[in-house]
Amino acid sequence: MGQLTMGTLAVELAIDRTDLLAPPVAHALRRLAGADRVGVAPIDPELADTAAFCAAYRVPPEASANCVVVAGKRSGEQRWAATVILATTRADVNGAIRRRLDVRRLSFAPMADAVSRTGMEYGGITPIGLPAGWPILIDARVAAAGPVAIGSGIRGSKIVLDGALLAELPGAEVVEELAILV
Amino acid sequence: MRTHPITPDVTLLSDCAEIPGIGFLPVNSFVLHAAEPVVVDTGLSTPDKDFVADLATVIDPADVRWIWLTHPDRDHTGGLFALLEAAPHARVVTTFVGVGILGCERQLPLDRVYLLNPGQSLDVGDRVLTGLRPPLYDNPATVGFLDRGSGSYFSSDCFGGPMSTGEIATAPDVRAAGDGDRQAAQLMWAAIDSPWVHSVDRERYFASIESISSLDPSALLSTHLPPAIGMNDALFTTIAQAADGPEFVGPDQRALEAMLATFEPPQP
Repeated sequence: MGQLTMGTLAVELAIDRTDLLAPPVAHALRRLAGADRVGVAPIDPELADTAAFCAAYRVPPEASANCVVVAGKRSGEQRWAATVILATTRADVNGAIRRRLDVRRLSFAPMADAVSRTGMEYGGITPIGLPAGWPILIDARVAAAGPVAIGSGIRGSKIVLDGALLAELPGAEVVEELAILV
Repeated sequence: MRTHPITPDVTLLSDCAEIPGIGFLPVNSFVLHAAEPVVVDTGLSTPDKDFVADLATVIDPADVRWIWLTHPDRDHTGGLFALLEAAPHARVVTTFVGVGILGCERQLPLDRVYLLNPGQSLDVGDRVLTGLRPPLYDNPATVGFLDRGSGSYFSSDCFGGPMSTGEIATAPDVRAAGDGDRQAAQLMWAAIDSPWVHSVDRERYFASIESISSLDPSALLSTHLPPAIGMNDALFTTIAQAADGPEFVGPDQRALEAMLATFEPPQP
């Protein structure tokens, strides 16, 4: 692994520290061609939420990415998807994302649904290891951001990788203007 | 029963059975979300279980196309016939011996059977499943399989072990047990479930382990252990030690009477 560093995080090669990953994340990493470029670092689970994490570990918000699970219906069929955006933006759920997923109405998935369907902890949900078939929409700012910190499936760690690597995940698509600057 | 997504295409249905003096034995079933969905084993046979209802929280049972029965013991067949009714297009993957053993209790309709021996493969639409007998097993009909799409190995009884609590037994990750407890549990289970392991030719036994470990499975999914991902070295090393591990001797009549005495009401 090239040296991935991020703030004060103690980053290690993720495939060597699967104890710091939720099971679906660990499994998906083993299938990812670029797994040798993915790091993971332990954090205090109480500091997993973005603002607290960035402040505690000196990670700039523009290098912190969030994975948001959304749900909508089309012809009575429930559709699930994930969006990945920078912490400096907010997801354009009922604009760009809704149009991309071709649903009439779209909303953030309830916490219980997001957890039960992903096998990941709330606050740690990540695009790596999501259920097969879910679209993963990545805001172009994430893909262009260089190294970013993102969830690991648990609240007790963060994954560190180049945002462009997320585009190689199964079902991933990089989309311009998926999020709105805040 | 609890359900957990454990890989992008596998959902675990985790249950357990309390064994007095031993612990809580995980009893797992799995849904492999293939193009033709596969259910792996169908849970306990006790009357309080409703496997099909539990399964329906994960997938519409009518969509199930294959029921891979790793072997026909009653902790694997609880919902089998109910699922065959609920899934009219499903066929049971088992062996000739498996059909025979099941037939001692209830006949499988032969047009709902798919006979598969170790080394043979099954195409489930978007991937191929290859039957591979695990190194440890207690039933001659046992056939696990490697999902060649995701790399997961479904190992039937092999790698199993009773856990210290029901919570750990139904967890989505075997790390919940701790390494020492997990290893001791696996050695005990190997001695209980596969007592022959102490008398087999070591080289051939180790070769049977190597035949699976060399595939470097992306997940080890046992019916009797919480899922293990990224722990291949630890688990294969443990079962290799089973050949020289302690033998298991169950409680005898004296122990049973002592236990029953503790149930008696105090004398006035």
